[in-house]
Amino acid sequence: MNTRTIATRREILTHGLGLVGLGATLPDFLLRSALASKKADGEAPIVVALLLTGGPDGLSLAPPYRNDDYYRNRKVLGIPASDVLKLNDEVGLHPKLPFLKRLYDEGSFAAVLGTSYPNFNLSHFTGREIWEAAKAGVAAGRPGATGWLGRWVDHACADAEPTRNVAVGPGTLPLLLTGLSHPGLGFVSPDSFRYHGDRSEQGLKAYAKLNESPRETAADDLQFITRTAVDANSASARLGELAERYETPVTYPDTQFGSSVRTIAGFINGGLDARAYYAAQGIAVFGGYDTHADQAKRLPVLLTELNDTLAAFHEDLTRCGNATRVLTFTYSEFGRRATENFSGGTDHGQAQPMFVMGGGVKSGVYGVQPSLTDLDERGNLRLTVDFRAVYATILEKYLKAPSEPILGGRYPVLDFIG
Amino acid sequence: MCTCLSWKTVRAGVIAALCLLAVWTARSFAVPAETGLEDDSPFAKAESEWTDARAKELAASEDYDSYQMSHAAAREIARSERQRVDREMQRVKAAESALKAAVDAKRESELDALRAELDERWTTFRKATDQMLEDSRISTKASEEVLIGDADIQAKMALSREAEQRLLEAKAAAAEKANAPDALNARLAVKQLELLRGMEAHQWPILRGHWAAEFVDDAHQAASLAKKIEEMETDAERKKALTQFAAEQETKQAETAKVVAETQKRAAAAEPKLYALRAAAHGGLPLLPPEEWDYAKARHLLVRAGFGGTPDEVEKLHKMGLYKAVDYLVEYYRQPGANIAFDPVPPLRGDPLHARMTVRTMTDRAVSQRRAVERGQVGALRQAWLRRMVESPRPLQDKLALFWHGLFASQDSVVQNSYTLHKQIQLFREHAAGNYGAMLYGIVHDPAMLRYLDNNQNVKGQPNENLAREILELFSMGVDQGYTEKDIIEAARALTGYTYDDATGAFQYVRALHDDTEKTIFGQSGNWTGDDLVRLILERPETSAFIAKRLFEYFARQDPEPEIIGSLATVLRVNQYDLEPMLKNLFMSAEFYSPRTMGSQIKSPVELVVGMYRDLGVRQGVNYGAIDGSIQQMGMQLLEPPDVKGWRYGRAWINSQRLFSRYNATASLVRTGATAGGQTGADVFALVQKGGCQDASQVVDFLVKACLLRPLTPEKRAELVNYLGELPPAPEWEAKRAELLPRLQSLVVLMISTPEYQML
Repeated sequence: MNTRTIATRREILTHGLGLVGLGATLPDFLLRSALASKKADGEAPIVVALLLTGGPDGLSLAPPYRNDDYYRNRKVLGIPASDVLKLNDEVGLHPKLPFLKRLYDEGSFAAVLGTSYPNFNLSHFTGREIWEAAKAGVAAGRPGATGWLGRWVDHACADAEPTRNVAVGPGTLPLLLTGLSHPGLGFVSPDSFRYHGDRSEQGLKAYAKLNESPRETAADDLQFITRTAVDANSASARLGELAERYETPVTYPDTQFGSSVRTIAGFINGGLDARAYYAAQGIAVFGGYDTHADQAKRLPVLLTELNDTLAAFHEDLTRCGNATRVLTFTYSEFGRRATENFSGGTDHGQAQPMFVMGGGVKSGVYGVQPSLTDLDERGNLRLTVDFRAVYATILEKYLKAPSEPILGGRYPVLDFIG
Repeated sequence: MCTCLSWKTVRAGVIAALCLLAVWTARSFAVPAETGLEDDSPFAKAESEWTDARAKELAASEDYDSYQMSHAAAREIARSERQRVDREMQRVKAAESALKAAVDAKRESELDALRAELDERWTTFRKATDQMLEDSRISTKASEEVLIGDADIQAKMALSREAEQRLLEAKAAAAEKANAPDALNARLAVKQLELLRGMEAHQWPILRGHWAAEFVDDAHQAASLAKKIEEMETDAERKKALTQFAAEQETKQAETAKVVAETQKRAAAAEPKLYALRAAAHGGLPLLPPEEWDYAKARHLLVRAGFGGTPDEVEKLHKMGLYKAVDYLVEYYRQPGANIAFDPVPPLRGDPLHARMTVRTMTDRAVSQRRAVERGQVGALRQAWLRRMVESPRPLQDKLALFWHGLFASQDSVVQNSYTLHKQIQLFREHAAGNYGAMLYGIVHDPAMLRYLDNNQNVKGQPNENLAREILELFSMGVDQGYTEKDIIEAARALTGYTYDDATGAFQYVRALHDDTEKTIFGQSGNWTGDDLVRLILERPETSAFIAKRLFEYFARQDPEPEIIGSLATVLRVNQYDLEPMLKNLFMSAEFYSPRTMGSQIKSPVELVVGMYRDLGVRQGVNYGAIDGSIQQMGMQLLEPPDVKGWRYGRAWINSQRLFSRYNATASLVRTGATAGGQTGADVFALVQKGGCQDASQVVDFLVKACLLRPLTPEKRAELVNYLGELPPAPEWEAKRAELLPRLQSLVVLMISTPEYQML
């Protein structure tokens, strides 16, 4: 594991950042976050990843409304063709996703159909790890485990700034964002993102000292925690301030997910130097999109939350002129089976559509709708597009980064980015 | 006269009969070795050697038993003789008193008769005494035979065990060479024999000690009786003989007392060896040498197999020694449980008429009232459980219950039935260190789990595979370990009809919904039910390996080597999934105390907060609502794991946001979370006083010892000493308690706001 020493007051002074007046009263780590704030990246592209927890039913999100086999497989759950928000002559969107349809009409929404990978895994957890690591056999939380966006941040940012990759919301830090020199920050709220133990000058000084890197070789996980502490302390003031002071006329859904995405908008519009963000919908709420039962009741609630959140996010970013520098995509651990089950739900399946929108995206339906008759031996839709092709496209065409070293393999580049 | 004669006859008869019986039984067992062995068996020679040795051992054993029996008879006789002498002694005394009374009253006419009576009493008494002396000596001799005679049986037994060991060794070596499927069992048979020998080495001295203690008692009784007789006796010859007898018996008593002491020592020395032998016989991990046991390891054991404790509590375990300390924690049912009552309320049922109410807000209100009762009860359940963790004298029970809750995870937000969740947690607690098979069986019948994983919707013709998949993937075998997607679908069919009654929250098997046709699971076909599924799963080697791995990761560290898991899984299988032997093996193993394991884990929020109170000795006035809220901020809500996979331990607990939550919430718990005896917050003052500290640096060192696993770097220690500042002289502390307590609490706050404190 990489280790890094804290910038000392001397280092900051030699950098000559005009912070001397501040330096006389602020402890080192606060000084250092002030230093970080000066390094905002202007117009550098930003990626926002949204996890749709639980494996959404792709055939409901993007129904192939002209296909009789679709309605044959979905006697109860099929979306009537008249309700579908049509994208082209083959597929459309769920009626609860009107904003995405609008964005499509405006020119910056892409649906990539049939994404998955060979030898797919139907475990929620292994599946998610594969989608986030973009390779098999990487276990989240293990030393050295990284996700593809984390690896991109490592590639794109030569520094080791802690605020480059930020996950917002109460869950664990996702593997997706984890890099080697950028382990990532998790953020819930400004007040909870600062140390309250003893805020006297003497207390903060001792606290900073005790949270420095251990000099001797410490256990791996102890070094990890120390590093997290150093990063958290240095980012505390800046992130807290940005989130706390953020004001926007745009109304987000009053939900955990809505509020997480609002915070992300606050960071972007406030000029934080982060390049990758993450938020999850449906974590720990009725299993999210894992609709084994009662799908007709549960799915519209989730999709309404998703639609309204994305609409607010888009409006908010547009307001501050940031819409074109932010690319947002959705992903999940797997799709669902072609045929509905007896419980009015659907079971874990393979291929699923991915939604990509915002910066650089060219509206269209990409990929190939998997056949509804030629299913695999377990009744799954077959994959038509390796999901890593979507990542490769984002990397190569939007982020201008070489995809092969980051994804650990060569994948075709698609057309959804102009 | 008549009784005396017949008694003697009986006595002789009994001894003769017993000896005959003993000899006869010994012979009858000494049958010739079986000759049915196949000549071409590679083990024929070893087999026949062992059979011979075994026959000799059995014969010797019968001889030994016959010594025991004749000795028991001799001893019994000597004891009756002593009682008889005692009775005769009383009669002599009575006759003497009668005579004296008649002399005093000058009843001349009675005197002759009374004198004759006294003479006769004396004669009988002396005869009985002679008999007693003789029989006591016989009994003593028999005792000696018992103590000396075990040499022969032990020698024969050793030969037999050695022959058996050669045979088993040869079989194990052959099986290993051939890579046979039962090679492990063959090797374990060798180890089991070694354990048996260890147990015999432990039992022999105990047996000898038992006999010897009886002989000590016999000799003592005989000697004191002889002394009493000697006092009464008037005949010089007889007096001399009695004195000599008493001296003999006292010598015997002293000699035998030495045997008792020596056997106790031998038994005590043999006992610890049993732990290592038992570990090997179960195929378990090698144990930590007991001499490497120290304070730091005792603390490690207490924080891992429990939630931690004060320096006093650690010291108590340290003094017990490794083996006894582990037995103490794992056999927690020998401690009284915490008296923490939780009376669950069955779920409120909605009145069907509610559905007919037209005013929507009225029906909504009825539903939300029911839900409020549920939420209240779930909160009470969480707090009662946390209280157990902090206060229970059986910490491992709740640490294990928490493990099972994470393994068989159910979420309150999905189950929405606090009563069934309570019953599920009770299941985990009852079987905590019991049997994994029983637990898995309980889980497929557990209403909360059946609801959580939609098995109420898993019915004939339309299987819902949610429960079946998670049972195989997360509860028993591990993802992609030895089962196929097809097995999942078949397992789901086996589980059809396993549901629960909404009204009572009880398990129900609805036969009409069960798929009553053949299923093929792991290649075995039959009309399986969910109960059969559990049996089939338990037969899979992947299951023991998976459970062993999960337990090792929970208690020891991440990424165990396959050999470690192999050993622990073997212990589970050898013991039919009983958890106690495996847990003992784990907690006694050298691996558990290796530098890679100690201090390598990141505390879960529950371990962080409960451990903090345990370490600081806070047991009273704890605000469990505050604890519950704190651990939720840190990402852990009991009865609400993130999903069916339960909590991810390790690095998943830590990110920058959660680190702040950990620091801030623990700080506030130290300052305000417990109120007892007029103090606000944790009574760090009382703890420091118990530690006998004299100045600031001693206070820091003591609290570091109480809270951290390793000493801090000198720089960090100096920072803490500096932060605490000068303290008044120790004798003034009590008077300045109100001023000192907040300072000490602030010191603890700072100390726990460190990366080091996040580790255990």
